[in-house]
Amino acid sequence: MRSKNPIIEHRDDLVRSLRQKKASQPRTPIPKRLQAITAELEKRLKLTESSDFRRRALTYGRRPAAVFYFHGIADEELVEHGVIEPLSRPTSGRKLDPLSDRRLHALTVEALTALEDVENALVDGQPVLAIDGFRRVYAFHLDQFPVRPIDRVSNESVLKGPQEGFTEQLETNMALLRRYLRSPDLVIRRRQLGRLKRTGVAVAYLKSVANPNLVADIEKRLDAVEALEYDAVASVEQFLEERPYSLLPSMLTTERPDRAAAHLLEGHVVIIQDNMPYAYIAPATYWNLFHSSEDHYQRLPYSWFMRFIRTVAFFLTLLTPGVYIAATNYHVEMIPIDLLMAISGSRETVPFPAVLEVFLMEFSFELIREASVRIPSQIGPTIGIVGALILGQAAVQANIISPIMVIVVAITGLASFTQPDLSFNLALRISRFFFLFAGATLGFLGIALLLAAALAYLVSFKSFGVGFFTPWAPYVPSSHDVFLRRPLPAETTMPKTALPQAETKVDKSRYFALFPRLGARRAAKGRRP
Amino acid sequence: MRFGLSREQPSERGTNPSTDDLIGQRELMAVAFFLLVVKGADSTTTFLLSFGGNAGWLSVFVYFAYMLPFLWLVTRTLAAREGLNLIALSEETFGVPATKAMMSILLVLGFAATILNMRPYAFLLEVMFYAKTPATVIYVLLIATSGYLAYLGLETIGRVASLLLPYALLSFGLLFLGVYDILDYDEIFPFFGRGWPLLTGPLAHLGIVVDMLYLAVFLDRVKGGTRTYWNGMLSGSGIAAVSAAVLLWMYVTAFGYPAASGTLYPFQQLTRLAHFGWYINHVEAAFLGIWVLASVVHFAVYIYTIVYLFQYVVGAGDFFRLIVPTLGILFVAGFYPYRSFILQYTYRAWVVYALTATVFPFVIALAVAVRYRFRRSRGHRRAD
Repeated sequence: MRSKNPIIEHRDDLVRSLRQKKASQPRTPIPKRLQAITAELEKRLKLTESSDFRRRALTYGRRPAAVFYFHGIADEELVEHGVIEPLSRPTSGRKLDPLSDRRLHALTVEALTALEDVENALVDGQPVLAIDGFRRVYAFHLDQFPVRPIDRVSNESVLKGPQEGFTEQLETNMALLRRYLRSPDLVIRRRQLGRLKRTGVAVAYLKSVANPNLVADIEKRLDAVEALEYDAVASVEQFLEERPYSLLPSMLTTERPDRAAAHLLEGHVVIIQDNMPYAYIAPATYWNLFHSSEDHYQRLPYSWFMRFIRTVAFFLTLLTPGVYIAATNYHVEMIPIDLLMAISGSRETVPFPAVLEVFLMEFSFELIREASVRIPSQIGPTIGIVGALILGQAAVQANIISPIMVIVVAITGLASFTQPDLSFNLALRISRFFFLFAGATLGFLGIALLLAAALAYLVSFKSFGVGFFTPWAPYVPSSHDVFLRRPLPAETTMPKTALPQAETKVDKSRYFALFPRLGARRAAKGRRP
Repeated sequence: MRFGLSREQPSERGTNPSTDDLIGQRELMAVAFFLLVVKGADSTTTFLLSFGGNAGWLSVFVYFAYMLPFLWLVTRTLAAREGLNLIALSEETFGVPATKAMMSILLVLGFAATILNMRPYAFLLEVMFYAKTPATVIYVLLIATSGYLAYLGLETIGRVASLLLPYALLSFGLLFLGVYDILDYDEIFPFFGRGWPLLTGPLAHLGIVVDMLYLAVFLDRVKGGTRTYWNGMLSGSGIAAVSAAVLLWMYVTAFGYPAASGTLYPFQQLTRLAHFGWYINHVEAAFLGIWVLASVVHFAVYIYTIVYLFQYVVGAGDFFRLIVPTLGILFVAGFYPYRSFILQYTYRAWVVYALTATVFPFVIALAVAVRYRFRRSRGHRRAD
């Protein structure tokens, strides 16, 4: 029998200790008198200091009562018309209880028995009703945090395909997933992480498709994060990934609900988090990072073309500066003589060695890129002018760099923008400096050795137990949606990348109906004796 | 605090193809390919051409033909006790002390072969491409990179090899396209070269390709057992044999026979001649890249095998802790004294003879012993 991983055992211990702690933690019962409840809440939530706190006094039957809520995060109109107004109307019943009160039937009411729960309900935007003489407080699900509406995606835009992206609100994102995947199989499990911040995190998966071990693995990691009781979990991605120092991301980050839904269908697990307009998809392989959602919305030949361009761009980003330095410093003989003369002619007046030149230019390019992200949008075009004019033309005229270097850096920079995933794009941009160093130190030998080491690292890298180059290395059955892809109706095999439970997507024997020529050939074959 | 799963430890997921640390037929085929094909592009070509003269390229097929029965024998022997690797089977048959002694010999010879193979690579790179760089630096980098691959394990080596295999074949194709107009096809005649030495030479030097049998040590890491081993080795060594033969054939037809035999680094010299039109020429640096990648995989398998045997012989618990000492030994031993390049070949010839004299008798003895034991136990059952 295989021994259990010590880290998994450690995680289990953490979860066990959290459960014990929760079970043994004393919970403050709600006082019977309204005055005591108010005093206790004021003490705990420092309500006298918070100017956005609201308290509305009313009577419930014959008992004095009060509704508490925070201004701005509760739907005040509904509080007014759905809670206070109906409760102010006289009722005939003698024994009243908000859970069975007909005046409140239109609302979702929850009875709370501990002051800790009341605190949480209030900061979650839920108005609470406290009644004198009741040992329970009633919370109404009328929270309404201010949020951005569903907007166009900004980082993963496509020419053809859905344009909407996730928002910062977890519930909206969950609803978006449900809209794209209207299946009763879709399970979305919500929890809160972070002792102070209480960030909402939801794990979504298709029950009949996703590997239960993968789901359990992710849930256990989240349990461990919860058990460690961090004050804030700003980005759940960084708490879940296996190799925090690695350049490679363990999860695919997307702001597109259609992309998240497509991965759910193939057995991946989607993790969404409050205050983050992204979904994290686990496991993520190279191909997930390489593909763009547009690849499937565009027709097959266009998609092939786009992927081919992206592949070339991948190598251009990674290798262009290194190869240029290696060729000009170590392997001059391989450069055609006319080109060599042109390069040396353009470098004649440049006082720096080529490697320093490349490094300066690449560094400047990164400066421009970083500045363009941080700069206020009103003065954004300035960056373009500074970049193109000063760093390009002026630096060449001042003989600080050669014109050919501008071309090398421009090609590298342009190529790097083609990578659809932001994390992978950054990984590539950083890696190219290593290749630049390798090329400058040992020419093509250095590049080849680094390439071998990098390739070994890539194939040994695992995201949630799945090899980064799956389904190529290791080879596992897939829908052949890797470098190229098949026509959509012919993608009949369920990819084994995320180790799904389900076997195939469609019945292979029937999909020929969609291809008249293939179908006729198959029918003819079937008629043969 | 780490949340990740450590590499050495199995995860909870049992059926995950990525975490079981096994290699499949593709990986084994690619490993076998890189283990053997590089011999057609390094200093081993001198040996190969010396047996058959201008028909040296045929000697590759002769080697392949000689090795096939042994490969079959090993496969059949291991198939008798499916699930065991060569070491485990040997322990079961000859006992632990005898197996340890045999593996110690294989370890020493493996060490010697690795050192004698690796150092010429560093010299080759120094002589052909990096005249100003000390060979020691190149040697260290080669050891470090191959060692890193070996450290990541057989699974990683197999995957890297399987990803590189198509590119290696493509580069051979491109090399042929680059030189096809300068090849003189008449050079391959007389077709059988020196005649008998073409058959006897490889027989005495079978140790050159003994790596194929070394891989049986990892049989328990192969998905599908002996069947996968047989298919993978057969296809991998078959493609490697064809590729190496084509390379040798190109050396002979490009340089002519005596010159090809006397050329120190024929692969690199041939890549210098490759050209695509008149504008793109001197592309040897581009071929250097794929050659280096192939060499790294080649030596990674060597180092992994040595560490594996080392671990078994000294009874070390942790495989990965032995990597650094092994690389250290390889580095220090790489400075072995020599007076001339010729002496290097002499040392290599000794190791090849020693390998031929130990591995093949061991395999035959093991096959006979297993067969005898298996038959006897079957006979006993029948008698019962």
